[in-house]
Amino acid sequence: MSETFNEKPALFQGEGAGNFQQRLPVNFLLDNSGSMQGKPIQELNEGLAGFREEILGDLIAAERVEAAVMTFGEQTKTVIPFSNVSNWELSAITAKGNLTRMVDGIETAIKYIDKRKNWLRERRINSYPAILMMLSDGAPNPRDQGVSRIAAQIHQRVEEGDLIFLAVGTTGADMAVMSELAHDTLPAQDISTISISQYFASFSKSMSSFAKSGTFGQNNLNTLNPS
Amino acid sequence: MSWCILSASTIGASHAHKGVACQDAHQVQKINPDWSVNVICDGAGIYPHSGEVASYIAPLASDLFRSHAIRKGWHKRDSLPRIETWRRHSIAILGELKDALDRMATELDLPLESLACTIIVVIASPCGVLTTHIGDGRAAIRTHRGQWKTAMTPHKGGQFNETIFLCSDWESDPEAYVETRTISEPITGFALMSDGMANHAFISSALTANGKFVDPNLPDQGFLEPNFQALYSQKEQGTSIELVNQSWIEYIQAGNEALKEEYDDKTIIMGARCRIR
Repeated sequence: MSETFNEKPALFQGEGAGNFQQRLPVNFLLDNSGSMQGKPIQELNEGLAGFREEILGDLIAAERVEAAVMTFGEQTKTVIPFSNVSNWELSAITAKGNLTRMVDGIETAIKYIDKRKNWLRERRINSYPAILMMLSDGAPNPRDQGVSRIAAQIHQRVEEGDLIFLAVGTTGADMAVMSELAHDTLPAQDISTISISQYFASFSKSMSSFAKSGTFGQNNLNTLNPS
Repeated sequence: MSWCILSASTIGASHAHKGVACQDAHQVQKINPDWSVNVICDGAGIYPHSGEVASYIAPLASDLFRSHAIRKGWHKRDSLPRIETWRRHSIAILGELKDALDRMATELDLPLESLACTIIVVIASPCGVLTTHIGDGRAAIRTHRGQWKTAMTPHKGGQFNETIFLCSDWESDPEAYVETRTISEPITGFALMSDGMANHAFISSALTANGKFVDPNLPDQGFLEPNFQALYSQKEQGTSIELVNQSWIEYIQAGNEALKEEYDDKTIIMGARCRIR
């Protein structure tokens, strides 16, 4: 079951933007089903910590990048809400469960991105196309989750220019599903030959450079390419 | 129509951790439903008596400014004084407040400079606001179009987090240390706050293209407007101001992660022109 975002029942909900820099929303959607137990989940946690350090190391990126962390397995959860990484409170993600509700996860992650972009718009803060990075070591389980439907939605958003979708498959991932989800302009990435933390290190550098330059081009793709 | 005013002074994470009391204080007093005197004092964290000083000065300042406004009859004419008049009167009252601090220092046998607090005064009326302040903090007004505009510039010293206090030698150069403003335009809301709220309700830091941080001092519409609307709608529904204010205090204390983790004490007063029911 997907989590809906906590609509605070509180009367007052105003929230300051912190700064007026153009934002780069990055949503990490990470598989934490049981198969990720052990080294993969450990590397993933290290990768997130490394991402935080990399972004914090650059003043401009630190103000522009605002990232969220979500996990999917038996259910989709928001582990860290969208914020500049200086506000991140990292606690170790654990892996458990037999189900991999990947499509629910993507759907919820896109909704969360839309919600955040609206939040930024209301504050008259510009944003770059959002990055949705989905990392998995498996395939949708159960299989009949509507991969084609969500793939069509992703492709449309990518073509409209407001989403950059990265499908990242680590050892064991069903790369056929990953490829179906990914848009032709940014094919699915098989990172089974490198560690997850290595991939995160490249990704972090790429995001830092994107946040500064404002363009996501061939250079970013080269950085992300594990081969 | 009448001013509906919320106010809260809440302890910062740093003071809570050290077991020190909140060193901010505030006072709100009405002259009539349309005119209100709003004062915030922020005690200097490095001195042990700062909280008491802020709690002493805020109500005293409110009384003095309110009595002065009543004597001058601004509320009867519904018009603001000229800037020169307001400035002259403000400096005189701030001088009286400093004298009170001097007496307090003598009674307690403490150096005057240890009785350190900033002060912000906003007199709100339907035809605009009068502001005066010594030190840091922020203030803003809300126009009829729903836009929040800056109403004061915080004093920043040469060092990070440095400012000037009511007990400092501001009389030697009031031009440099005392800011007064008369903003003569119809307003629908106002807000004033201590420095601990600056990062939440104002854009107080921005990175320039050459990698330097500047302070744009712009009200954060994203913070102020939804909260203004919440107050307004609650009053439209007839909720008592006491009940709304209780939610306000809880929200300022820990309404979101950033507010919860703010190390500095937080004080904010927000007013909205609402229909009287």
